[in-house]
Amino acid sequence: MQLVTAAFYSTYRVLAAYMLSLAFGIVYGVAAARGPRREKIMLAVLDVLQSVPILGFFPVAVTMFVALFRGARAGYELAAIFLIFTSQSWNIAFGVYETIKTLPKDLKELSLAFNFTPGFAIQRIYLPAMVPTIVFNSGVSMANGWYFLMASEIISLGNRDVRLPGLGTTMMNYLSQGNTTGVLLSIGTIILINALLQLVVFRPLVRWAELFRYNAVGTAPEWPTVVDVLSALGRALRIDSALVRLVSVGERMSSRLAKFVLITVSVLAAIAFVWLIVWLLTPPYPWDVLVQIPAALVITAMRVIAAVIISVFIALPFVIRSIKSVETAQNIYTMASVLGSVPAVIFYPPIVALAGRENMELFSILLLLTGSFWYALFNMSKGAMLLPGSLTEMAKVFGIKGLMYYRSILIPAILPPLITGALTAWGGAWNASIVAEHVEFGHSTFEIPGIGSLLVSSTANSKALILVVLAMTALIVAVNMLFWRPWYQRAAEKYNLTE
Amino acid sequence: MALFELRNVNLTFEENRKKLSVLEDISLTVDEGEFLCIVGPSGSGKSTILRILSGILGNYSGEVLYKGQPNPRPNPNVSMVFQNFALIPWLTVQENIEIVLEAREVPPRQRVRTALKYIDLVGLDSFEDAYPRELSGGMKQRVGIARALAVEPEVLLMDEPFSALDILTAADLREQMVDLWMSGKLPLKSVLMVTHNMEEAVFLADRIVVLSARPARIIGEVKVPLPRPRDYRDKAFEEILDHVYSMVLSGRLKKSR
Repeated sequence: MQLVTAAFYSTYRVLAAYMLSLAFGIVYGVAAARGPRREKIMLAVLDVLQSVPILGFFPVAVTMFVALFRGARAGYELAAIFLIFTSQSWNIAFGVYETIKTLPKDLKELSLAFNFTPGFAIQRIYLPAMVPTIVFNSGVSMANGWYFLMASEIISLGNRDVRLPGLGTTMMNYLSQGNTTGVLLSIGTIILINALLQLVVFRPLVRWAELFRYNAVGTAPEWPTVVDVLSALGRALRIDSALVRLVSVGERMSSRLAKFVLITVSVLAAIAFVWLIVWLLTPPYPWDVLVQIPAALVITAMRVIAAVIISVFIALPFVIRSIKSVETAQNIYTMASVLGSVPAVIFYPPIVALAGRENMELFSILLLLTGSFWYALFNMSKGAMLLPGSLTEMAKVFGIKGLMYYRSILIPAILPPLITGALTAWGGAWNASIVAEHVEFGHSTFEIPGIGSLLVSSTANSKALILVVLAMTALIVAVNMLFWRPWYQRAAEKYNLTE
Repeated sequence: MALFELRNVNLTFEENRKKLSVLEDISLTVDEGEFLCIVGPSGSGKSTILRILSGILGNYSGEVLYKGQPNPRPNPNVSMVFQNFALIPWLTVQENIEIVLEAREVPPRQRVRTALKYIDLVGLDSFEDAYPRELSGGMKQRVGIARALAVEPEVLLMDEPFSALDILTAADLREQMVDLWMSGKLPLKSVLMVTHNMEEAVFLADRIVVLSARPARIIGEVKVPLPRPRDYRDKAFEEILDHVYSMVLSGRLKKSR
């Protein structure tokens, strides 16, 4: 019974956060893609936000929402929803941005040639064109929200814990009691909810989303009931017109009010940032934590790199199977969204039992995989699905087989999505390091050294916490900018498949 | 009377920080009641001229007049047929036509009536509820033509409308285009079509303007005073075609010198 209410609470939180993520992702993505002057800065901000580990949003969420509601339950509730939101929204915003950037020129010219007003074009062209990306990226987002449930439902304020009713809290309680059945039951509930959501909502949506692909051939997919239900619901709540208005506001950033809001927000952010720097620079310095940061970063980075490489290699055979087979890709999508929602913690006890405490170092990489593998799989299979059939056909005609096929055709052809997969796996592994390096199970605490466990152990000291988060974010952003982005740019140019 | 008048229109694009001249000193008119073809090699600025007339592009220098007034952007009196159809994949045939009527605030009932009328006119009845992906290329372009006609424009702009189709389908559609144009059923005053296919131009046009390769300059003009429907094997047809051919070739030779 307790599980049912907990499940209800968690589901409502994840879904509420998901709605917010959708709205945010669409508005932000459109605004970034349609304004060349704000594009660069908005993308950079998104890049940094995506790299901040979810626990890094803790201080913000807690101080802001809890203070706003003076410690009332609603404040914690909003803080939890906000934290789940931070694990879902960036990925949707990126997807929306990319869709608009790659929108077929024909559709843009069509709306100009037949004098569509901007609002009309957004409602009838831009929003529908986003459907495939949004549906696909929602899989990752939903899985991610559940994956970080525990981190979001237990809000620590200094040495006080506020535990919101929900599956995350329930699972944590079972874990600290050492109640294995309880843990398994809560994990089972999470899987059950996700499987149901997939079966009833997302799987039909994924099939239906095929309709929105440009230049597709063959029979049109069926119109599933769930779309009718959702669109009736949306129309009843006037979501479509509200969304159009929201997007139009993001679009017309030049309007006076929007400019005022934008300037106010940036000024406030700048003040907050300066204040943060000043506060960080005033003594006392948390030297004990500071000296640990470099070594902890290096050790976690090594694990993360290993996890990324393993993720890509394990995902590869699945990806190869999904080339040109929409069916397989859809199955991978469903599997990844259900299994990707399983929190990392569950794997701790069996791995400890299997490996023994001495070998934890090595086996902790397995834990990071739970946070990185699904990302690699999602993004790589998404890219492989779009591979032109003429390429594989050509290989067949000329008898290019075996190692040569992989080396000279397949890997280069899927290199851009492969890099995207590795990049997102890299971010996911870092995020997972926080929940994976420190777990309390029964009376025993499992901990391995690294930036994640350092972060968890310094939650009591907010200055130390922010410094750790900043160091981690800086490293992730630096590697993204110096390594992943340039590599992706080069690969995308060299292995561009559109003639 | 001239519907459209271009006076010394120039256009340069900037690509990789290099200035690229696309149109050079283009002056031409589209007269009322004529079917005008602009012929030129692929990659010349032919399609760009259509985009200027429809108001999609505005960064040109020179003058563009519609009925003696500066060309409005966008120009609601023109309509466009696209080379690659530009149908919206998530809308049915009928919805694809209705959406452009909706954008012009035609009331719902009349939208349906008009859409069905033009679907009928291009011979697509019973395909109202099909999605573009379920249609052949020729049928897709019929939808594109029906959509362009449904807003009842004064000038129809066609951007290589038959070049993405196979030869037989293209010939078939061309003949139907002539029938539609001759029938007088349309409120259409003029058609401006852009093509690289010289035979097609002689088959359809009253007048042909020949452009050079990039940057596009006007090489010359050929009148086609043949009665419709025209026959490709006709002696007069072949003579005019030869004339257009030699004009295009001379443009090439001047270039290589």
